[in-house]
Amino acid sequence: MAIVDIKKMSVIALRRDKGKLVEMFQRLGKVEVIDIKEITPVEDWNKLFETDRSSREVTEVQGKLGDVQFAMDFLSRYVPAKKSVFAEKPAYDEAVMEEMSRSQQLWSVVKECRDLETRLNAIKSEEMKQSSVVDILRPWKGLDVPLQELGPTEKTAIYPGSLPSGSVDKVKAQLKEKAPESSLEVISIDRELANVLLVYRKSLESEVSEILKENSWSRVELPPVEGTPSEVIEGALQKEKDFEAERQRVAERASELSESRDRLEAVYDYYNMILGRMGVEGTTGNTRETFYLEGWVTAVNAEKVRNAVLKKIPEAYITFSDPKETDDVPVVLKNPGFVEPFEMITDLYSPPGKRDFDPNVLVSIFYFIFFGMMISDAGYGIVLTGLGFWALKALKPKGMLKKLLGLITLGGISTTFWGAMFGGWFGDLLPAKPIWMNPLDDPMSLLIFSFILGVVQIFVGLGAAAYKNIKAGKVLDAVFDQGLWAVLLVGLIMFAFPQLGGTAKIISVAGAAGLVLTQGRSKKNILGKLMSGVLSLYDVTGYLSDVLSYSRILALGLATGVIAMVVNTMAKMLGFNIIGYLLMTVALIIGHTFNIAINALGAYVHSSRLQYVEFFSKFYEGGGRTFNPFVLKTKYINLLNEEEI
Amino acid sequence: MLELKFALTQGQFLSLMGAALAVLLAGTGSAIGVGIAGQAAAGVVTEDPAKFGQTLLLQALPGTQGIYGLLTGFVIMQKIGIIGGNIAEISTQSGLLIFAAALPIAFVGLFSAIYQGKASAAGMGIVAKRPEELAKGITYAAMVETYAVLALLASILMIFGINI
Repeated sequence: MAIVDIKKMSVIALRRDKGKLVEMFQRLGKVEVIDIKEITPVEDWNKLFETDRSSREVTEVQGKLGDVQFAMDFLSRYVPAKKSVFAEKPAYDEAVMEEMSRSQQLWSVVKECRDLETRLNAIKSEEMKQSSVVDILRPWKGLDVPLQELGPTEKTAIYPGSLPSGSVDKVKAQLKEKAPESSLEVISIDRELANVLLVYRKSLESEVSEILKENSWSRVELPPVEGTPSEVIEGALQKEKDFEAERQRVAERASELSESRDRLEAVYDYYNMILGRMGVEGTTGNTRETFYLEGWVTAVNAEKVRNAVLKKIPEAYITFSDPKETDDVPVVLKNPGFVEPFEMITDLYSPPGKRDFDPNVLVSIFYFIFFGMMISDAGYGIVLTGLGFWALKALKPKGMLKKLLGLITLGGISTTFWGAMFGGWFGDLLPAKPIWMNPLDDPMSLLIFSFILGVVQIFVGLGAAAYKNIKAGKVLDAVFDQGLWAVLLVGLIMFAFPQLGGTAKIISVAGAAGLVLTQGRSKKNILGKLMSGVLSLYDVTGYLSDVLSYSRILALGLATGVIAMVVNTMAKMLGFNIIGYLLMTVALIIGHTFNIAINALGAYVHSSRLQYVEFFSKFYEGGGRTFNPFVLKTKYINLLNEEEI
Repeated sequence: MLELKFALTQGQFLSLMGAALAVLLAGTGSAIGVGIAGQAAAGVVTEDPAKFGQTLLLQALPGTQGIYGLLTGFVIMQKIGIIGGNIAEISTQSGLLIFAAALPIAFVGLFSAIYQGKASAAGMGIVAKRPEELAKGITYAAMVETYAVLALLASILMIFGINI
């Protein structure tokens, strides 16, 4: 029901037992380890402790982990891992995993994966080189001279090059005139460029080059390959087929290798486990023979942890103490089953800080009501509850996902309730009389009801703030800051009832006067006190806008109902014969699924906002840190013989 | 010319104009907003494809204004009987009232969706660097939507309140 007590654990033991102790903590999963180096000033650290061993071992394990992960990624490119989320993970003993991690066969699989990858890369680069050659040679297909023979002789110069298509004839004519001992052969020509082979007598160099310069000639460097261009292109096509076959072989081999995937996964988890331990071992302070370890443990678990440690290492020294004011104590919450899913909402804002109490019971009640009213369709509620409940059973989730699914399930129940109250069953698909009223007929009543819910939550928020002040011994603060506001707000609300007008005036004025007199009490001089007091009344607009903000409950509820009606109306237009009925059913399913999705998201977001902005602003500070115990985190396997305490 | 003037002051036309504006402007706003958020989302996903779900959630947020617009348009269409197939006789006065009632969601929808899109796009940065804080990014974007919700409420209450 609240924030759980946390103890600080200190352990001193022999260094040779450190591995054993850390391994046990990992299996227990009840201790959050503190990095001593981080909280100790450097000069103290140097006086007290030896510098730790090098991180070479860690790097080595990280390297191996990287290798295994590479092999897994490589293989999953060829044979996607198709494991159902519902499948039970295989369980291994740690000794077995250790043995696997040293198996020759496993590492040969990893190596072969690397080799295959290298080969694929080689093929790829070869292919790229080849395709660039082919791209250059394609326009030269008509050239029937082997490329290696295309070079100057003693008396003649031979150059491939390109000219603008329009100027080919001009160049030919000029060459004929000024350098008769030359030839220009057009190999290929398109709208812009002509690829040509130019042959001329070397002695005519200057004349030829002048002509060329005038006509924007550019020399083409043909790649240094053997054979005529068409032979080369032909050869490239042939090689492409070889490459494809090679790729096929790699793929086949990879799918053979992926039989080892199970073992790779186990070893992957094994190395992760080892790395986790190494990380924790690095947080201790070490002397030559001993080490010192600190951690956070919940008070409930303290005794169990002590027993477990002493059972494993009888000569260890272990003690528990209350956290100091300056300590960065993590937060653990313990709430009944109904409230637990709503912890997610608060955690996403910020876990309770040092001066906070656990607000989740309050949050859960309001969130439950608001979420349901914002969707308010019994049909949708049943769908949400069903989905959430099924997923909880089938997936057996942990942590955040479990809370989210719990939230959906509970939200669905609330949605069903409010849907029945307002007569919404998949919009107006099923004609059911509303138990209370139809919001479309009388939106004003529901708007006022939404405001009332808002007023209630704001008063609860004020109450929570007063409780916090009183608990901290600041009774006067509670009376002035929350009590007087409550008086003023009650007075203002009473104005809504004409027969209470007289009393309302008296109460409001009393509240306002009290606020003017007390809100400036921290100011030094009398003028400052009065100014702050008067200005504080301006906060009334804040309360007004807070209450108005709850109108979103009505608005989102109406939105769901009307969109459902739109879906139904459009679907019914289709239903005039057999095929029409089929189409209608499809349209109904798609439309309502969409509506559920968009409105569940909306209800989640806006219910959260009402907690964060309107409710928490009254009393909640947050800023705590969630308890993050050192646990065994495995992705693919379960560990056998997990420690029981 | 006279005929056109007559048609333009018809109650039915004015009401439909209101419905059309609500759908059109709010929808345009959502399209722009979702587009802005989508561009940022694609950037995040190029770095880490696993964040598709989270970014999609953020991208969807500015889409609600379009739905609110459609919803208002639908309520108007139902009010004037265009959905049932037989349009009611509507005075110019009532038509103008309905037209005015459509304006809040039309314009607030247009602008809030665009700015919500920008807030969502900025929230993508949170997803990229600190995915566990997604809820905060969502909340920032949802703060903008408040005004679209209020406008929707105003439009709907106005339409319900008009007697034709």
